[in-house]
Amino acid sequence: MLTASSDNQLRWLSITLFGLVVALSLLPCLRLLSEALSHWDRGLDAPLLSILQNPRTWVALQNSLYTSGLGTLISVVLGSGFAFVLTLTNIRYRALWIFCFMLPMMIPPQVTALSWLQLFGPASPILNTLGIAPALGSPQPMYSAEGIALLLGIQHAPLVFLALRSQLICLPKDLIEAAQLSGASQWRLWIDMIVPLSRNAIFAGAAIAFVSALGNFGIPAMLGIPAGYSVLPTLIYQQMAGFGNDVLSEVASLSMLIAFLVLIGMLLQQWIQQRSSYSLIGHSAQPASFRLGKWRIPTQILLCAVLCLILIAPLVALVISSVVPALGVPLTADTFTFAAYNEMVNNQGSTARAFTNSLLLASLAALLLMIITLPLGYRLMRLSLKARAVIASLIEVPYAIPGIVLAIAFILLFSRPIPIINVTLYGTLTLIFLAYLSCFLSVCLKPVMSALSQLDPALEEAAQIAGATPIQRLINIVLPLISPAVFAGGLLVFLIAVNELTVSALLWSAGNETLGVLIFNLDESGDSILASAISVLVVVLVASLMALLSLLAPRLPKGVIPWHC
Amino acid sequence: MALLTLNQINKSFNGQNAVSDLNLSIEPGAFVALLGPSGCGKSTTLRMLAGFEKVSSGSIFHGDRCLSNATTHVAPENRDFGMVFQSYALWPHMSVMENIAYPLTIKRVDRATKQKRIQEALAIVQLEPYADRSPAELSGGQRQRVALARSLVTEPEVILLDEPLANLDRHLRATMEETFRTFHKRTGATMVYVTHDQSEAMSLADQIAVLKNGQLIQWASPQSLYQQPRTAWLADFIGRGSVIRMQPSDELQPGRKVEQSLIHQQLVLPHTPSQGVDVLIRPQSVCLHPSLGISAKVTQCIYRGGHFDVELSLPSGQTLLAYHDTPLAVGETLFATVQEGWSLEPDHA
Amino acid sequence: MTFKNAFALCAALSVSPLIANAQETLTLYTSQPNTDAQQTVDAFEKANPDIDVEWVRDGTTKLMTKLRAELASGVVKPDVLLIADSVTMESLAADNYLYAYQSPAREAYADSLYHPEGYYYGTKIITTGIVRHKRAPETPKSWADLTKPEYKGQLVMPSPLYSGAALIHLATLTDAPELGWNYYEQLQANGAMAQGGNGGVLKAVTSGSKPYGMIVDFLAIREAAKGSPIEFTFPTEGVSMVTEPVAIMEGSKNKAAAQRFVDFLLSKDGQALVLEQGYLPAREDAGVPAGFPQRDAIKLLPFDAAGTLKSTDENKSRFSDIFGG
Repeated sequence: MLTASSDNQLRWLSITLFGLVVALSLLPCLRLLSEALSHWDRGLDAPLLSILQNPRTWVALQNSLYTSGLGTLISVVLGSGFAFVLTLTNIRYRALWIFCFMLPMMIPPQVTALSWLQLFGPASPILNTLGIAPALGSPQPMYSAEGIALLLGIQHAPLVFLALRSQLICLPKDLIEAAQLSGASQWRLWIDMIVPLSRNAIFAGAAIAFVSALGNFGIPAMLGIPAGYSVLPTLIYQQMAGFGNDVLSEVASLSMLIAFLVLIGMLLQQWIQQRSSYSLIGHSAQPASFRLGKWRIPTQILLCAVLCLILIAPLVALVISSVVPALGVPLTADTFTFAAYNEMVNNQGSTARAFTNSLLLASLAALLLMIITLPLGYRLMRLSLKARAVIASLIEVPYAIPGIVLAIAFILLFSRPIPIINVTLYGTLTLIFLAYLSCFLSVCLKPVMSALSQLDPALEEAAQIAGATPIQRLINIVLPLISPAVFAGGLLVFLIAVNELTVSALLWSAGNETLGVLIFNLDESGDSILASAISVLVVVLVASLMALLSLLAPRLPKGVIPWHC
Repeated sequence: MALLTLNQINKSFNGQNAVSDLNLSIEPGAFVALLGPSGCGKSTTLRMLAGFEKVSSGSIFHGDRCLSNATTHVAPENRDFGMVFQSYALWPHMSVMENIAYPLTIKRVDRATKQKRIQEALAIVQLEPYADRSPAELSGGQRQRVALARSLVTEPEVILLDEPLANLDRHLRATMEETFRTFHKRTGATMVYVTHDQSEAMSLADQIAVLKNGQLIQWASPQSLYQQPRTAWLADFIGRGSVIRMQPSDELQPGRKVEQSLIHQQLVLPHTPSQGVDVLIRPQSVCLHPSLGISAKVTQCIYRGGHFDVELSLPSGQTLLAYHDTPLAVGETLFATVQEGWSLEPDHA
Repeated sequence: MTFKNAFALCAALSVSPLIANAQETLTLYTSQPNTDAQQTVDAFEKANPDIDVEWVRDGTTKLMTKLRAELASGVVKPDVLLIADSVTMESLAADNYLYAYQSPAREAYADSLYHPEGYYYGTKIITTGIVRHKRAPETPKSWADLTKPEYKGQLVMPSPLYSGAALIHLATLTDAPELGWNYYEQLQANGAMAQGGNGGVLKAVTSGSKPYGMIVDFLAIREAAKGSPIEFTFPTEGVSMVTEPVAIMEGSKNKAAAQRFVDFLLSKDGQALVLEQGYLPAREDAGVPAGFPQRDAIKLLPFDAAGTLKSTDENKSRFSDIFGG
């Protein structure tokens, strides 16, 4: 063990962590900023100003805020509803429900969008069977701002769910019972007790969902472009489809706009969070649980219905679209074929590579981030509230800006060899790995910070009195109590990273493709069936991994695996 | 075993003074109570002793070792004290045994000694059968005892206790007080005990420091505090009795015993609230008699289990509290004699 | 600690691409579909066993952004480019990023298909025409048909804001005297919807959500051959084309191998591969793939690459004004 004194330990910890944050979060932002501010000498024609003067920018901004806001609302309702029911009640088959709820994150958003379009379109197998399929060419309700918001909401609901669940597990029974004794009805209990106590976690989850929605490209691309409804990420994509040297600067400017929005949102969330922090973790009481009684069956039916919509329907659509010979061919006993799977598994070398790369990147990123965020969160808690808010918001930015733009920042930073050690990272898997670290740091940090702020300070003080140095306290006391949140963060990173598309889309080079890139490329170039085949394989793979984790669950602390009780 | 001294301690938060000019000298092996109403600065003082707060000015010494002053500050993990928290702060992910073992594990004590000490600690608090339980399965009193065991397992010279009995019921409190006493005798450690309950302080401590609004009102033994409190506020705070305002006279100086003759002389004079000297009369000094003494009328008689509290109204209008074995009727007139009293300093603020 | 770990990982992972090869390596950036790119590379490597090709496939937009970011940092990674359209090539040539190479194979090609100074060479003729769902009530024969009331709200097309090929299509049609910008305004009034790219149009038409669409020829014809319920038509006014040109980067360190790649693509074998993949080869004497009419039956509308480059921004904003988004 280190013989360094406590002060020394704290200092080294701070320096290392600070250096990491600078490298991962500050540098890319600064590079983008310098790019956005380039050609300043052109005055009013400078890229940044021409972007700000363009009315399309402001329309896109408004649309972004609307769809992201509405989408976040939907995520919160859906995610917290599931979290409350699945954590605090005595519903049966809990593990199964949770498992199913987390699965939609596995399906690429474009696929979800497409399956919904098909669900309500003229070629819908379900509607055709029921005989109520709309006529060829009828208007599609999904091509609208509300359609975008709905899908964004569904896509990000698991984020709110995870954030809230690790909080609710720690809700002690005696607080609920005290309220019950005061005569509170079930309904009042929720409103007066449970919701306020989980407020922090709901806000944390809502914040991640909002930021994810702001930077989401796939869904508004699929549903917004046809309706002429643009949001900031699709506007950026438009810029990229242009020609000339100003493209990068204009793209950087637009992403700075997004970054600015994110910073404001984050500061707001920090401010709200500070005003209500209750020390909950560490109460040695039993966790709360409600009896559903006669509501059990209706609740299960409701959950089932929701899951059918957000999970079963897209999955079925996905599978169907992978076993037909060509797009638009109805699935019958004759047309059923595994040709797509055959092609991807046996003929395309890219399949095996993409799987290996994605799994490797996702698990390494998750692991490393789990290791980093605990001491980082711990150190941040010791800063003043203002400093903490600023740094947390800074860390948030790489996640919020569209993946494409982050990739551009990394290209600009790393295309030349790193000085002194003369190693070229460009074009390697390592660069994508670093970009993932930068991008997902905030995803892992959020649940950890939320849990740390709820920790009873007396627990650490008792360890201090016992003689423990900061590192010892971190490992012996803080880590075991926070581990559900740490694992939730790591799991979240893994789930998002394995399907990740936009960052690796620009950073990959020969031999380094990821699953997201593979699927998107196939889909975009018209090989949608092959894309569906890979998507199905990905879903199967991730579901198996999650099942494997379930097997390990008894050996891990309670609450670490979200769907295992 | 070394002297624990607080010299001219000042502590302020955001410009507000929590503790002002505190001077205490705690003998090794003493049981000291920091007593006062909430907000008086006792917890802050304890936390400064523990090292969780830095001093704004002044110094804390343990023997020759400076623990804290304006320039240096020894972190809590390096002070070798023990502490019992109000919320017990038991680590929920560790069993009772592991909770108690932790300080020894940190200090790298060898297994044999560690086991021995843990067993001793468990024996002192009588929790041997509970060694493998988790804190969630214990009652409040049991958790309290685990916290206590944990604080003494490293045999520290100083043990700090932050309102440890606040969350327990009365009966349990009585039992725990006994535990503390035994424990103090056995370990001989210096104990600094924060409480707002004066009867607790009186029964446990050798010396009590009474604090109000961050200032030390009196530093004395329980008996001195009870019989010879410095100010009227303190007289009211500790024990039960009556504070009678008497007219100023040369013999009536603050901080002195007042003889019966003077009291009887004063009690029949009219009450002058604006000026005069406050005198404390404990109910034990008051005797009731059908015919001897100063005439008084009974205004209230309340049964306290074993005796009656009798509130008497004096001719001057002031109230006098007395004890009596048998009930008395309200409105009854009888006579009271006062053996002695204690004159008080005026309150500041 | 974590810093050191990160650097160790960096060092370890970056060694792999640095493993020395006895072969020459050629790096190709292409926007062809994956399977086609794989076939092209395989065929070239077979014909030139001493050259190893590493290829990166992405949509033109993303590919160009990546390339531009690299160029902005002063790094040139690819040796050859094989991307969708000549306007992009014009833009790169104007910025002096391309290398002029006079390939001997150019004799067999029409002048309009390659840059006179040899900066880039068209390898295919990919036209944009009309596709309809087999169950759709109407059968459009010309561009003008699409403005008729029977097609109201039933048409989907790739958006020039997002697709380079669609931008060229826009420029071509608006230059044609009988169509012009008026045509697009009529389309908008008729409820036409602009999708992201050709893949999106294919999905929309095959699923029936929009029974008619504008799409590139090979995609529709190839999928129809596999059983998709769609049908492609070459409109009577004529079609726009993109040529999927190949070019050599000025900063390439392997110009000799790059030249051989260009020559291969333009050779008879290279063009035979193109035919096999279902595209119309640029080479005059190479025949037509199954499902295509004869060459002389396909009317190509005139197209000016340099002019289109200049009017890009103007075209895009005008389109955006009409269609929104």
